[in-house]
This record gives sequence, structure tokens and C-alpha cells, in this order.
Amino acid sequence: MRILIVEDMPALRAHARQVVLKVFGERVEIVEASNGLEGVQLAKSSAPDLTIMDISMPELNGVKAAEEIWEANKQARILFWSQYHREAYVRTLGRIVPDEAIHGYLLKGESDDKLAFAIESVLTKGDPYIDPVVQGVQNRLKSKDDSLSDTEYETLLDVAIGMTDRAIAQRRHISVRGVQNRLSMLLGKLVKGQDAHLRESAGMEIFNPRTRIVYEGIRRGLVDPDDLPKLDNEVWDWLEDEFDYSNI
Amino acid sequence: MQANPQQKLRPQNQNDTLTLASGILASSVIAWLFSEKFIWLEQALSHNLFGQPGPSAIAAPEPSLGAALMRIGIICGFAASATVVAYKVSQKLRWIVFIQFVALNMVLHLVQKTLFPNSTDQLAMPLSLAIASGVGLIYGAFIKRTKDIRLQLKAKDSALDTIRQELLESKIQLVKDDEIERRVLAADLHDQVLNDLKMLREKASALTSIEDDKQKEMDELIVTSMNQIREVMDSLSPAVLKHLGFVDAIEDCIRSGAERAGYKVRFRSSVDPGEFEVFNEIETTLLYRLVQESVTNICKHSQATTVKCLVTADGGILKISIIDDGVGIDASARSTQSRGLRYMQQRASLINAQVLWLTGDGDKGTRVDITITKPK
Repeated sequence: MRILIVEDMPALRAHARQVVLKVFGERVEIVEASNGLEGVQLAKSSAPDLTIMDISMPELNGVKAAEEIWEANKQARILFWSQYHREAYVRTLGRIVPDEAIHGYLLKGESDDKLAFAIESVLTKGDPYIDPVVQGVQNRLKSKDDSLSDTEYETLLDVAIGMTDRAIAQRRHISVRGVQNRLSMLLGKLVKGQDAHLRESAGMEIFNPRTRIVYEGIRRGLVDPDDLPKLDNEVWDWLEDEFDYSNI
Repeated sequence: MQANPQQKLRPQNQNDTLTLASGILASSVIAWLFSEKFIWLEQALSHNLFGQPGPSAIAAPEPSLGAALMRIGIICGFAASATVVAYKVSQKLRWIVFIQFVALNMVLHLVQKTLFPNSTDQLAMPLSLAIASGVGLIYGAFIKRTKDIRLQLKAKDSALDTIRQELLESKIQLVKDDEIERRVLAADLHDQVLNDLKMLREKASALTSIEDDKQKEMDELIVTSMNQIREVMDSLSPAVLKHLGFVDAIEDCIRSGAERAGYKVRFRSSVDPGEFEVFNEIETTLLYRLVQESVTNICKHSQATTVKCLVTADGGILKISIIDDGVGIDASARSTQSRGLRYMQQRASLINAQVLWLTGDGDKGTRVDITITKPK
């Protein structure tokens, strides 16, 4: 396992290194770069499993460096570690992330636990972690119980409204692969592996996974049907904003 | 007579040569036309000065073609040299030259009389030659003067151009210095005020003697302050512009206005973000400031519910239109907003951009069009 840390301030670089070691222990090889250009070179030459990328760096900033890395490797996983809390960053990065890649965005002021969580989310689970603080006017709905992470819960609600993977990816500024990974996890958590057994017995697919997780969500009280109209309205607002689509 | 005039004079440019040539031709033609008329006068003059037979005594012989041509030639020569000399020579000297020409005429006549006492052909014609020389001198003086005036104007024009250029450069320098100031201020806010707030937050959360909900309240207040400081920092030195490019930066600017004023945002760009990369840093920053100022105006005055921003390209012209559905700019409001509007005009003129204020869609609200031409 190889992790690349691209950060121009040595103290922060050391901090990130520390957290990575705490999460993975000795199993991980850590490569470091002190600016964007170096970061791109090292990413191309050493093919890390995860890149922790600062935004504000001399020579080449984190956004442009990520663009170059993604051009060379469409599946690269990059966790952006940034001091900028404006949603514009998440929006732009969401637009440039390739479909197959996974990325995350975490603010630098957050705790070490959050950083560790974000690293694990992006690298291990393939679940894009976008810092809830960077949400603009939108307020993230918090999961009603601890079985699902906030990101999984958000995707569950989007699916309950009936959105496609690509639409969810665009709305939440993540990659399509990220949505699919979340769905896999939801499936694993809510539809406890019944399907293989069923398929054998019945000789066909009984349940559509996507719809079944919505059922499970409602059955377990994670999704409240009375909330759905409000969620639906929000989708139409987003459609109007994003695509100039009027539902009149 | 005189040396070849072409050798003496080298006109500064084509204009002068043409003017001279036309002057010479004109004065020659005039002199020749009048010479025929003056034959009677000439004869009278000759009779009085040199004792030639009087005008009525001899019928004026029909001048042969050869003689006529020679006459024209001499007159042209006199006119030409007069023009050239007047051009080259300064005011007072011209009078002296004129007198010299007249004297030359007399001498020539005397010479002719001595050498050809019986000739009745008027080859040397004192009056017409004198007129030719006079006209030539005046004309030469005239074109010299216009040339001088032209050169003066040119010099003044180029001096004016230099001053204009210097003024533009110093304005741009002021703006650059201003932007550096803002960056420094933003950095100070970050390093000092924001840091202090972070420490305050930590210390506040470590207090044990306060009830939980009071502590939460304090923490929220401190976080709000920190976010407000971040907003100020951002508007002083927009990092988005540096990191995300121009189009994303102005979208962010409009959306941050929406957070403050509560309007809906419709942002549409049909332009590839790379199109704005042809502009240098100061041009992009000033364009951003124009958008920022428009957004500030909307937040302060317009009470808009929806703000549309369209970024379009038409040939080499890029246009940013910001349309709000608020109260619009009317004459009375203009005075309070005029400082901001003037600021925008100033900034726009530095980068060769234009700002137009129009009525918004459906005759309601305001539309601000910022256009800039791409450099070749």
C-alpha cells in the first residue's frame, strides 16, 4: 500500500504522515512531495493507492495537479486536504473527477479522527467523503441511526426519490463510481446477502437491489415517507438551477 | 543662373516633394498666362528704361513657337528657383532674395540688349519674371510654414501620447499595488485574527465550569465569527480566482452573494474556461472585481429574488451579463450608487473592457453587461 502526500508546509506534511501511520501502521509506504509539480511526477512514477493533496501550493496548485494526475490515471484516488471552505472547490472538483475515480474533500481544521475517517473512506471503502461544512446553503441530513454513514444516508435518500447514479453524482459533486460504491455498501448493510440464496432457490433475480434498499430503508425507519415530497421538491429546485429546467 | 534646385533641396518626405512640384508648376503657369498680357507693359517698361521702341511703334510680332517655349522655360526656371529658395531660407532673407531676382531680371535684359540690340523678341521679360519670382517666393514660404506647423503638431501629438501612456501605466500600477495591499490584509487576518479565534475556541471548549448549552452557544458564536472573517478574507483576496479559474470564480462570487442576500442563482456559461486564460493576472482580477462590485450592488440595493449570470462569447468578444429582477437603478438611486458605478467604469477602462447598465428582462430590474475583447 502506497500513499502519496502532496503538501507544501512541512509541519502539515509531517502531521498527515503521522495520521496515515496511525491508520495503517507499518503496512504503508509513504511518499512525499512539497509542491504540485513534484506531486504529479511522483504520482505518475510511483502509482500510489491514495494521494493526499493540498490545494494551495507553489508551482502548481492542487486542482491543476489533480487534473494532470487524472488525465494519466482515470481511476486515481485523491483526498483533497484544503483550507478553503467555499463550495466552489467541491463543485469544480466534482466536475473534473473522472467517472471511475474516487475523491474526497476535507478541511484542514478538522480533527485527526476525521482525517483518518476520510482516508479510510476514500481509500478502503471507495466512498467519496465530502466535508459536510463545505455545503453552502444546503444542510446535510444526518443519519438517524449509526448504522449508516452520513454519505451512505444521503445516497439512500437520493435513490428513494428515484435518481440515477449519474444524476446523484452530478448533484453531490462526486464520481459515478463513488455513487456505485455507496450503493454497494448500502446493499451490504441493508439487504443482508439474501440475494445469492434466493437466486439459487428461485432460479431468477427476485428483488431489484436499488428498489429493495429503499424498502429496507423505509421498513427500518431510516427513510420517512412523509419526508419524501420535500426531498422531491429539492430535486426539482436543483434541476432548475443546474439545467434551467422548469417544471411548470 | 542658379544651380539645379533638385540638388539643393531634399524634402523630408514625399508630401513635401509633391507640394513643391505642384507649387512650381502653378506659379509657372500663372506667370506664363499673364506674360502675354503684359507684353504691352513690358514694351512700355522697356521703352522707358532701355529706350526700346514704344508699344505703339512696333506691332508686336507674333512670337515663334521656339521663342514661346523658351519664354515658358525661363519663367518656370525663375519660379522654381524662387519657390525652392523661399522654402530653404528664412523670413528676412526672402526679401533680399526677391530684390536679387528683380535685379537679375534687369541684368538679363541689359545683357540681351547689349548682345542683340536689334532683336525685338522679348526673351527676358522683366515684369513677368519678377511676378514669377514673387509668386514662387510666396508659395515657397507658404509651404515651408505649413510644414513647420505640421511638424509642431506631430511633436505635440507624440508628447501627448507619451503622457497618456504614462498615465495609463501609473493607473495600472496603483491598481496592482491596491491588489497587493488586499492580499497582505487577507494574510494578516488569517495569521493573526483567525489564529486568535481558533485558540479562543479551544480554550472555550476546555472550560468546565460552564453549562453545556452555554458552551455550545459560545462555540457557535466563535465559529460564526471565524466564518465571517473568512468571508472578508475571501473577498479581499479571492483564492478561488487563483485556483479554480475565472468562470468558476465568478460563479462562486454570485453564489456567495446569494448566501448573503437570499436570491436564487442561475449561472450559465457557454464559454470554455480556457478562453479566459488569454488575459493576464491583472485583467482577470479586475474583471473579477467588476463582477464582485455588481454583486455587492445587487445585495445592497436591488432586493432581487433571482440573479442570472450568462457568460457568452461572440467572435473575439467575451461577455458577462448579470441580470437581476430587483428594483433597478433609477435616477434617484444613482447618486448613492454612483461611487460604485464610477469605480467600475474606472477599472473597466484600464483593461479595455466596457460596462453597460441596462434594464433587466421584462423591463424589470437591472442588467449589467461587461464585455472585453480578446487580445490578438
